[in-house]
Amino acid sequence: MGAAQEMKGELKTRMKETMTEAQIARADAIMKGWFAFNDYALLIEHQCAEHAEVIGRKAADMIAAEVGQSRDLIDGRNAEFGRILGNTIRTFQMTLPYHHQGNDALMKEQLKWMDYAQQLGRTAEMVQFDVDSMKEIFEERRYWIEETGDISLALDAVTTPTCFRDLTVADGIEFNADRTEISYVSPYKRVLEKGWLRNIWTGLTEQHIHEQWTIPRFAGYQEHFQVRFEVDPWDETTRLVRIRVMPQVA
Amino acid sequence: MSAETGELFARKDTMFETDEKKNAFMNAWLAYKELTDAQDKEFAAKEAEIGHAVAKLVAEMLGKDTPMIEGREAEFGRVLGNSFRTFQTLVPYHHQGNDGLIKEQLKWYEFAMREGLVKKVIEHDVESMRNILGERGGWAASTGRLELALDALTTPTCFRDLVLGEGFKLTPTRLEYKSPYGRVIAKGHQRGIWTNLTEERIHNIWTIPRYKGYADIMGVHFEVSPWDEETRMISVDVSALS
Repeated sequence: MGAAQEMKGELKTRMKETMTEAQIARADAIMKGWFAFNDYALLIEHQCAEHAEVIGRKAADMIAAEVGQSRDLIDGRNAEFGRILGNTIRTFQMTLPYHHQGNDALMKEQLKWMDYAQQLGRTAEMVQFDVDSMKEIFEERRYWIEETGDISLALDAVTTPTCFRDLTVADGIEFNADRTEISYVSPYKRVLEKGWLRNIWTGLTEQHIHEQWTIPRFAGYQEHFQVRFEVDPWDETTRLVRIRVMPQVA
Repeated sequence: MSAETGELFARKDTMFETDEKKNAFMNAWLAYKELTDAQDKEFAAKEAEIGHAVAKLVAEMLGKDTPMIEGREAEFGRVLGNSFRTFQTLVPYHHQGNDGLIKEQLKWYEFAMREGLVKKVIEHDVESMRNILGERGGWAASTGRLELALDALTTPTCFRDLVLGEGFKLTPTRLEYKSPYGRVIAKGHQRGIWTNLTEERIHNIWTIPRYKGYADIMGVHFEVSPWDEETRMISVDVSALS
C-alpha cells in the first residue's frame, strides 16, 4: 500500500474514533464545497493564464479609452496586467468562508505581525521601527514641502505608496478638495472576525489597530515631514478613519 | 547574484546629491502625481462602469455567460484603477502588483532578523496556520490526494498575490516560481533599508522553515529546492511521508 493510501486509512479510522457521524458529514460537505470552488477557480485561472497577454492588452486598451487616454497605460506589460486581472477574478470567486477582496493578502500579512507584536508586548517598538524605516524617504518629501509650501505633499507621501493604496482598495478612499484630508473605512473587520472564529488574531480589534498602530505611526511620520497629522479617534459605528494634515505648531 | 538584481545593486542612488538633482526628481514626481491623481479621479467617476466593462470583456474571452464578479463592479473597478496607478509608478523602479505585500513582508523580516526573533516568528506563523492546514491535511489524507497539500500552500491570496509579478507553475506534485523580492530589496539597499536581507537569506531562513512547518501540520513532505542565485527559481515538491 502506498504512503498516501496508508495515510488515508489511518485518518478514516481516527475520524471514526473521535467524531460523531454528523461531524463527519459536515466536514465532508465543507470539503466537497471547497473542491467545487477550487476546480472552478483553477479552470478560470488556467484560462486566464493561457490568454493573459491578450486579456491584459485588450482590457488596458478598453480602460484607456474609458478614461480618455491614448497612451499605453501599462507600458507594454500585457501579460503582467493580464495576470492581475486573472488573480483578481479568482479572488472574487472566493466567497467562502467570506467574500475575499483585493486587499485580503496584505491585510492578513499585517494582522499576523500586529498579533505577534501584541503577544510579545513589542507593539510600540515595532511601530517605531516602521517609523524609522520611512525616515529617509519622508525627509526627502519634507524638502519638497519646503520648496513648494504645499503641506498636502505630506499626506500624499503616506497615501501614495502601494502599501496604503492596496490596503484600502476594497472600499476606497476619499480626499477633500485640496487633498489635506483623507478618509477611508477601516479595512480589517471582516478578515479579523473570520480569524477569531479560527482562534487567530484574538488579541486584535479594529479599535486596537487604530489606537496602537495607526495613530502612533502617523504621530511618528509627522516628525519626518515637520507637519502635524490629526487622526480622528476611533468610531465603532462608522469605522471611518479620517486624517488631516496641517502645519506644525511652532 | 542574477544580472537583473546585480545591476540594481550596483546602481547607486545619485538623484539626491545636489539641489539640482533633488529638484529634478521632485519635479518628475510632481508631474507623475498630477497625472495619476487625474487618472484616479477619472477612474473614481466610472469605477463601476469600467469594472463591469472589463469583467464582461474577460468573461467573453473565456467563454463565460456571466462577468464572474457577482455585482461587485465598483470594487473590481477600484482594483483595476489601483493596478493602473501601480503600473504608472516607474520611478525609482517599475512597481508591480505585488509591491505593497512585498514591502510589508520585508519590513518585518528585517525587524525580526535585527531582533533575533526569526525562529519565534516562524513558529508563530506556522502555529497561526495550524487550524486551516490541519483541516487541509485531513482532506489530503481522507481523499489520498497529496496535491491538496500543495494546493493549501498556494491557494491563499497571500501566495497568489506575492507571485503576481512573474507568475508561477503548478502541477499536482510540484510548484515553481521566481523569488519575488530581488528588485525591491535592491532598491531598499540603496536607501539604507532592509540591509540585512537578501533573497538567499529569505529563502533559507524564512521560506524553507515555514514550508517545512506547514508540511508537518498537513502530514506530508515538502522538498524545497536550495537557493539558486542565477535563476532565482524556487520549486516545492510534495510527497507522502515515508
